[in-house]
Amino acid sequence: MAKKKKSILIIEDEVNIANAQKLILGNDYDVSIAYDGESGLKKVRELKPDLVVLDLMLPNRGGYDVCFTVRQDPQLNSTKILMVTALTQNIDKTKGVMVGTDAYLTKPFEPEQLLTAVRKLLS
Amino acid sequence: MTLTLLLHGFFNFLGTTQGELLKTAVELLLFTVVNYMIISEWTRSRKRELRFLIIAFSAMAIDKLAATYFLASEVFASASTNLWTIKTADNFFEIFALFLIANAFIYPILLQKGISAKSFMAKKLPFLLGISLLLSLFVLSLIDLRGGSLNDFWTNTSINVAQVVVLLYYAGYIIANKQYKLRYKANIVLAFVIYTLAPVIELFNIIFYDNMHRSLTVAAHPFPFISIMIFTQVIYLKLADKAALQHQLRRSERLYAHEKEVSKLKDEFVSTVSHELKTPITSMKLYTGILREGKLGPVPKKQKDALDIVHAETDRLNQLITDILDLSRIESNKSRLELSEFDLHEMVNDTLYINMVKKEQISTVIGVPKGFFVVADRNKLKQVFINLFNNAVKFTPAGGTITISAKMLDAEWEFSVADTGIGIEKDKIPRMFEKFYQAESYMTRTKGGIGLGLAIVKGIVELHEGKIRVDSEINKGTRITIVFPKLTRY
Repeated sequence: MAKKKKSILIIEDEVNIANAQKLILGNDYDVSIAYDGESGLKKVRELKPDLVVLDLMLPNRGGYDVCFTVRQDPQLNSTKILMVTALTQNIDKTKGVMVGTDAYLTKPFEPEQLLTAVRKLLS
Repeated sequence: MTLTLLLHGFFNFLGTTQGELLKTAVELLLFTVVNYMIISEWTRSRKRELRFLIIAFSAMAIDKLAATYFLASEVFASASTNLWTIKTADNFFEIFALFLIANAFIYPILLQKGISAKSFMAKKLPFLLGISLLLSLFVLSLIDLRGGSLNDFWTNTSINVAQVVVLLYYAGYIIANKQYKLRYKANIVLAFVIYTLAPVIELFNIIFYDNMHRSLTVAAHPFPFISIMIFTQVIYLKLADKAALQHQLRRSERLYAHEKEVSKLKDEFVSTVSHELKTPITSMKLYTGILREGKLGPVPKKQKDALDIVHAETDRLNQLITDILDLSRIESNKSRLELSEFDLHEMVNDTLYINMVKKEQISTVIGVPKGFFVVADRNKLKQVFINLFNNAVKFTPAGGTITISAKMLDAEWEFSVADTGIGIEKDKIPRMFEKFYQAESYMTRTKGGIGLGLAIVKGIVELHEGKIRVDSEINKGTRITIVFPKLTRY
């Protein structure tokens, strides 16, 4: 029996980007998608994925808030977070570190960059 | 001729009891009006200086009220002689009121010096009285020498001497403390000095003419009045100033709120635009990437070449958006410097860039010594380096060299990027740091780029308060040198 695939939850309100991410990661990982912060948080609790690819600008609960809430939950201790943002200013990064993200990816990125970042976090 | 007669008659009239009454009544009116002005301002702002002025001017008004009353009873009720004691008391009270006014006017100086007005007055009053007493005795001895009657003149003499001493002392005090700020200083000194002219003339009259010289008596009349007019003017200007300042303050508060609002809107705009533009670009990049990698089926060579072009153009569009946003942040001065100390050698010794130009057969020489520590905004300086480097690559043909060097000076340090490229004409140098400027329009097509790189460099260098120097020779090359001041980290 093949080794069980690691699970990833993509929280991204842009359908095209979410689908592209699923296309890129789908071969190697078990991927689910949520399209806003509130349902994303529900799915994180439900699925307890190994990694969350979290967009920053989300409807119904922003990315910082979701990230912070996940970090507060002891049951989600092993869940890694990869934050994806279009903002590059340092203040954003500082804020991200404060709420407890594990890594960063700045939009726009190449498929290869996403794969590398995800592999690094799940290795 | 008639006018001279009229004036002569009028001044003579002022010398009579009726004239005296008129003068005192007008003075009373002036002091009342001034007091009214100060009190209405005080009810709003409750400033100590104003309270002080109110006390001083009230004392003066009370004095004038009493004088008006006595003179009126003399004129209208013929109660002439018995009032000597009260009148003398009133005269001394006037000196005290003058003393208060003088202190109130110099109050801003005391405030700046950190002296309490009460203790200042408590010290000055006996001092000034002592001096007045000595001077009065001296003047009286002069009168005595001449054979005049001391009994007739001792009160007038001492009152006049005290007035002169008080006013001249404070005029001198203002002049001696001219380094402190006091608005309408000249007017105040002038008012004090003019006020003293009347007692000086009267003293002169007493000493030499037993106070019998008509012309001198007449000549002394207008001075206190002029002086009071100047006091009124100073008070008016002080209050008008305050009103104007308050108006200005309200205006600048409104402007500031507006600017803050605009700046907030601009921030929001930049952040929204950044998000909205980068989202479709992200999709484009991801899908072209997925296609090129053959994730959606095999891609023939021609289609792959076309996808490569889409991919490269997407990168260019992304760079353009990033540049515009960067420039907008730098220009709105939003971009604060985050200073840190770092090794410039480490920053420029970036294999990514060196390898990139190797492909174009351009060699890179790094002349920045190891351990070249500087204080600057690292991220922004990196951008300066990248933009200058890309600019040099653009204009350097294959086989050329790009040299990056740095030098420590006394209070500054230099950073330069030199190429062996096509060079730029002297008259175009001043314009090359302008937005969207390209020395030749065809370069936009052949060399890529949109002409924002150097504008960003200029913006960042200006944030660091540095200077840019360009040396160029056609077909020999260009050297762009940036001189940064040595900054401290905090």
